[in-house]
Amino acid sequence: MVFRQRVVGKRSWRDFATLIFLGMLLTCVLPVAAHHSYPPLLTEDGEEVIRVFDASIELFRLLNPHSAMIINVTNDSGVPEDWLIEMSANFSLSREGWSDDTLKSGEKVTIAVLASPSPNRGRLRAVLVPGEAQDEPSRLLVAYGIRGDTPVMRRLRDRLSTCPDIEARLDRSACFSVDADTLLALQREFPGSMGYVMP
Amino acid sequence: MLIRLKESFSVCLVLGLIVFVPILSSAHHSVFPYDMATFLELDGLITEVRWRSPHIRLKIAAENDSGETIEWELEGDSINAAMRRGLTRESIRVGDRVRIAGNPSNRDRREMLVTHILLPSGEEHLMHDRPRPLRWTNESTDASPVDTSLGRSIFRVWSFGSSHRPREPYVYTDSAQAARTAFEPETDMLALRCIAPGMPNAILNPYPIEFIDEVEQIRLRVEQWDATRLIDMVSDQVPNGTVSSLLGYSLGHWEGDMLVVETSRVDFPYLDDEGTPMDEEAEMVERFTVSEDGSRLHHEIVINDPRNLVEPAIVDGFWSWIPGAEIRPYGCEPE
Repeated sequence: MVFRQRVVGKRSWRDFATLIFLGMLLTCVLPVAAHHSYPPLLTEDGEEVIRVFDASIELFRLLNPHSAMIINVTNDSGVPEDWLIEMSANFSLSREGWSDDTLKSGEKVTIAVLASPSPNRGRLRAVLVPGEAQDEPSRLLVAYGIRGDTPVMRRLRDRLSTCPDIEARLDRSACFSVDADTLLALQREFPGSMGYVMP
Repeated sequence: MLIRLKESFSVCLVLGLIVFVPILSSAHHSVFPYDMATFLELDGLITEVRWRSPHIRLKIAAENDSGETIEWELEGDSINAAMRRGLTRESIRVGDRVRIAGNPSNRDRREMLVTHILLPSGEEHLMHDRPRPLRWTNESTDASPVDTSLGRSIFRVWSFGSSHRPREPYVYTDSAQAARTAFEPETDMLALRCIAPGMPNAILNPYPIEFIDEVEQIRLRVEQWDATRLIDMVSDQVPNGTVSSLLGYSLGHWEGDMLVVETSRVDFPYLDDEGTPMDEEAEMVERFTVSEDGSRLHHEIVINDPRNLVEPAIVDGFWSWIPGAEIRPYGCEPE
């Protein structure tokens, strides 16, 4: 794979050098920024705001650098609105087994979102997707704030089996299979909306 | 009672509808069986209410000029759109006396596309992405109507919208198809190294964008990849000696309320994230239109790359207006 030749001039060498420099800067800076590269919405006590919705998925696309999901929800005043939910890059998620079909338009889900200061936006914390058939288990997909070696992840790993098709190779996401009985037990043990994925 | 009214034909309204239709109903049917240049009003009793997907449908028994009662079929909004503007399942019931305005069928059937409903409550409800002015009252069902302070200005932050979709699946040339087959995402995807894509990929995502008026140019900021496109609003053609670049050189002009942007000289190897090559002679034409009520920015892009696409590809999408939305800081974590 080769870039096409540009018209070579001083300007293009400078651009190239800038690109290299920025790349180096990113690699140095980002690990320090830990698992949040942007500021989340915070409460008065400085805690992150996690919103939980019953939602309908309007669209889902694997994209670089941020995959996108748009969901239809009903807000606190009972008015329907849309939210944009951000996820890891296509280049990561596809390598963990995600595809554009992992979340389908029209699916009715329960979703926990790390809210952003911008209106109607957030990052995916976890989404519970019911199975298509009656006997099929639900899938619990987890992302920001949960993936990796975290207390919530350990909690889920201790109780749930992982999905066959998604593998947390890069620690960008994880998927758990949850049958009806297990879900009930989880809800009892961790009360509240999606209590089982809360810190 | 039947009242026939002629209203002037609005190009922008039709354009808005042309791109709005695929989003309005999973393309179940086209809006165009209706005569958009004609408005009718009907007064009558509701005889049926079907509150379901893809559209709310109603029936009304209205008297015509000869005193006969004729039943009309009325096509409404999607449930979601109607609820957004304050209509509920309880707002219209069988037996209610209502007044309806809308566009009649082109096919000589007793069918109408509803634009305004005057409900028994005295409130008026608008349908199908129509302009704000109420027809009969000052009372809208919409508790939080669209903030119209920016009118139809394109210069603002446009929030997420729909996913961009091609009108027809792309048809690749043989050489493009071979390249796609040979593409190995795990090693070849440039985004892996946080290398930003060029046009058109750079704009084909639902993340916010912002238009900033700089008179001789328009600055178009794109949240994904922190891209800044500069649209030259002055020149008639690409200046001599222009070097190819990631986002190409964009020439813009207004056609009425529509911003037309022509982009060429893009220096990037791919059209997309799937390894479809892009030729250096590729050109794109975009048309940006703000909807009548200022709530949406419609986008159409025609991608011309005969070396790789057998026919020009046409992709549609839109962004929504959400007051207070911002472009978020850029973040890409390389592998």
